[in-house]
Amino acid sequence: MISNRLNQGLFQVRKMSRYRFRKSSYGIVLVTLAIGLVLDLITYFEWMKYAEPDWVLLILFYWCLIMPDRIGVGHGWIAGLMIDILNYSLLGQHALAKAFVALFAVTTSRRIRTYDLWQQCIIVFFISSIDIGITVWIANFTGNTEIRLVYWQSALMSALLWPVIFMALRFLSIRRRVG
Amino acid sequence: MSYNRIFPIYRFAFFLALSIGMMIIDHRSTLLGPVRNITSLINITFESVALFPGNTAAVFERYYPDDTLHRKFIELQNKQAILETRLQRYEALELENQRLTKLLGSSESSTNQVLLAEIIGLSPEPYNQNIVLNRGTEAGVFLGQPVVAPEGVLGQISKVGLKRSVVTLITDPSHGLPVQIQRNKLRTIVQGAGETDRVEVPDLISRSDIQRGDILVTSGMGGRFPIGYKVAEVTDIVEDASEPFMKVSASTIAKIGLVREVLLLWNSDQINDFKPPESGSVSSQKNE
Repeated sequence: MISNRLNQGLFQVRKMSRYRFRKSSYGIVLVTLAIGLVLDLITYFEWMKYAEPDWVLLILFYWCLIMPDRIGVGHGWIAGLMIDILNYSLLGQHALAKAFVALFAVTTSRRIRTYDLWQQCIIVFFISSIDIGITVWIANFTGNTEIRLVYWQSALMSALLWPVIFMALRFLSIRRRVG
Repeated sequence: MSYNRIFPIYRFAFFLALSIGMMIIDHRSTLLGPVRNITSLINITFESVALFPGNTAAVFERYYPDDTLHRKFIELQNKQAILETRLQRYEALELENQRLTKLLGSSESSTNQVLLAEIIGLSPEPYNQNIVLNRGTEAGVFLGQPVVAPEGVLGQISKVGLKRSVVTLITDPSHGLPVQIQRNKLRTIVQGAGETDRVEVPDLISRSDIQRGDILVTSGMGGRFPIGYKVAEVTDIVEDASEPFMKVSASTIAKIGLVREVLLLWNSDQINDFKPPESGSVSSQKNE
């Protein structure tokens, strides 16, 4: 009887700590995504205009891989909507693309996590290309632009940057004991 | 773990429908205007964070000035003196012009109210020919308002928030602008080429009187842009005898990389009987 109660108490404590644990992990996702949004806003050099890495995509992709049961399509959609707001573009354009990225990451996370870093780079290039494809296609559909191949330089840059982002966020999530 | 396999797809379908609905509403109507008013506050927060390093540099420059500032001051002072003398001549000319137009009995309107706005940023997306200004509905900015730089025409307002507005540049492929050649008053239309500082003149028939180096100015047709502002300089003409139209490309006079401050224009008749634009005139802003 007593041992049973003790067990219950222990269980309670563990449950509470898990709850707190979740909240803090959620905060770090929000903060890193916000940093990504700011980094996306900055134009670094004029010659890098077409080749700017998609920071939000990389960060979103990482968190979807690490905790697919907590970060997913909805978070991707909201991150994309923030990009739409900050870029003054059509509301829903990037949201759709980022929701798709999150869907892909969540559904294939268990497989991708076992890959080497360079193999993940190829996956990032692939998914970033699709992301750019969706946004450019919608922009073309609404009559703003022609489809040109230079826009996909950004996907290459994102893929090259993936190891850096992965290492940095891995360091961060191990320190904060997330994931 | 069936949660991970199945549910995201349903959720994605929901968000897919939501985004498509939102895009249609945003593209086809002005229902999301109030939403943009609110989102411009989010923009300001993020932009101030992104611009923070630059701003601190400006503050340092203000309190610890170096020689360049002083030199710039003297340079500007000289320029000011020259401009002021020129302005006197301009005022006399304008008075004379007003008298003559009155004599002719024409109803040609001239702009007289302007507002100075600062360019906050270029569009972060490479495929958009847009710039962002630091003025919005708060300052009376409206959809379709002409925007000019001291050198020449830049574009027109295409989205307005409370404190921010977006200018579609004349280099945007969806933007057409009625112009005339300054030399011989030949009227035509300038269309954006989707590249920085480059426009095209798509509908001049073969053997039209146009030369390299011709200056294109606004013709005042369509009633949106006031007459006589410089738009572009013809750089390249390709004439093929078998083609009905010439291929003329021109470079804009106002270089977007060099402009920092722009002017928003109001027509004098718009000031006199100012009323909020009807929804019909707002939604037709892309067709000019």
